[in-house]
Amino acid sequence: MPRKPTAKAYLDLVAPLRDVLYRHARRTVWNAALVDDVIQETLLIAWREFTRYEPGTNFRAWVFRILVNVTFKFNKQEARRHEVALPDSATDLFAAIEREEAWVRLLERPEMLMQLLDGRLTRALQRLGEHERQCLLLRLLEEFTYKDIASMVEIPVGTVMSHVHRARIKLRERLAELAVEQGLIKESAR
Amino acid sequence: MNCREVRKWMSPYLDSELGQTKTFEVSEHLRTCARCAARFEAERGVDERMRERLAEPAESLPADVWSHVTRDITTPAWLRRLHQARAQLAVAACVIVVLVGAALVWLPVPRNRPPWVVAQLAVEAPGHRPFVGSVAGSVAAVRMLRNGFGLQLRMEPLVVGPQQHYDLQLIGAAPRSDGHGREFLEVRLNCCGKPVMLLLARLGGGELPEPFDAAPLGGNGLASRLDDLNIATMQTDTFVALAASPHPVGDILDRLTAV
Repeated sequence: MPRKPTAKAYLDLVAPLRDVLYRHARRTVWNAALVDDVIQETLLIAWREFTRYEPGTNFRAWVFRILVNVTFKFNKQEARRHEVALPDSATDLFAAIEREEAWVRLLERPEMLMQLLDGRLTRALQRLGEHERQCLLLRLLEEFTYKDIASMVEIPVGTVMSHVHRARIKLRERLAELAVEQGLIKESAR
Repeated sequence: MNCREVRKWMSPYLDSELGQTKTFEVSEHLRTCARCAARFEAERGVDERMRERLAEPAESLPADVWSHVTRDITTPAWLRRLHQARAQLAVAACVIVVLVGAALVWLPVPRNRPPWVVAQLAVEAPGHRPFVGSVAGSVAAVRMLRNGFGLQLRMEPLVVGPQQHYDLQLIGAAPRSDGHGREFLEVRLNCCGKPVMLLLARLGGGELPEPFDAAPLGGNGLASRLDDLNIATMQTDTFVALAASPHPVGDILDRLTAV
């Protein structure tokens, strides 16, 4: 008969992850005032569901999956409360191609690019669709595989690949835009 | 694979998520195309910088959030529910205190009603209708009072007001005993059309018969109203008497005098 998991066993597993979970929530929860609530709910749901966790499997991926779901729920409620549409995840590929030239020129000036990344990345990230942002951060920052991300976000692996790809393009597009706006590089001839 | 196709696979290639064949094709192209190789290196650098930038500043979960979670997890569920419901419990406790207080003030205090008397009246005078009896019964009652207790009961009407008097009628009497063999006399009367039960027991040092158990003894001649019955008791050195009736009974016991 399986033994009832103890609070100590759960806390021993989750305590080392609390800061990375918090960091991820700070980057993905729209309303900054709700980040603490999201983390609290995530950790309490994970405790309630802890009997379903299979020892020896990837606990980090398991608890991130709960965090992603709680974040989606909170963001959806927030969107409804303020009657705003969720950001469209469709990428304006035409615009991306148009700005590619500017981006390539930016790549040739790494110092400028890094300065731009340091100053504007967080804001550029906010322009991404919710799934794009989740997928990119789970890949880039948390280094989960596409397969893990697919399980967390509950979408096919191919869709994860597409979201990460589009997120990268959108970020680059936005940074190229900013570089042009700030006169760091000249606008490409269209 | 040409330059355009390679760029299409840039993102999964950077994430090492391409299948073996595609990875090989992209790698081969990068090996032979310096322009694409430089572009991919630059893109990898952007990813690295993004990773570093997003990981900073190192943020920690606020201590109060963590302590709240650990407290919630380590507290037994029943205690947690109790804690969550403390406001409702406080309100419920206040309501109970108020209700109990109100009950103590307004609800009638339970009083003793001699159960034997109540039961006997319910059977012999249902609905508080007067006792039915004969003259012979009253003669026997007079004799039993005199022989058993050396008492007589004055039967003349009692004037209680200009237009009002209590008219007493002796119906009968019967010797009784309780379940323990303790004897007493049951006398039945009607007063103004209401049944009156008069019980008498001799005091001999032993316990009183059961019908007197729950009676409010000690208030000689004082009547008290218990629900729908007036009860009066009287105690002398030799006997104890109890009168019970829906009619006032204060004067009934006063009518008992020695022969």
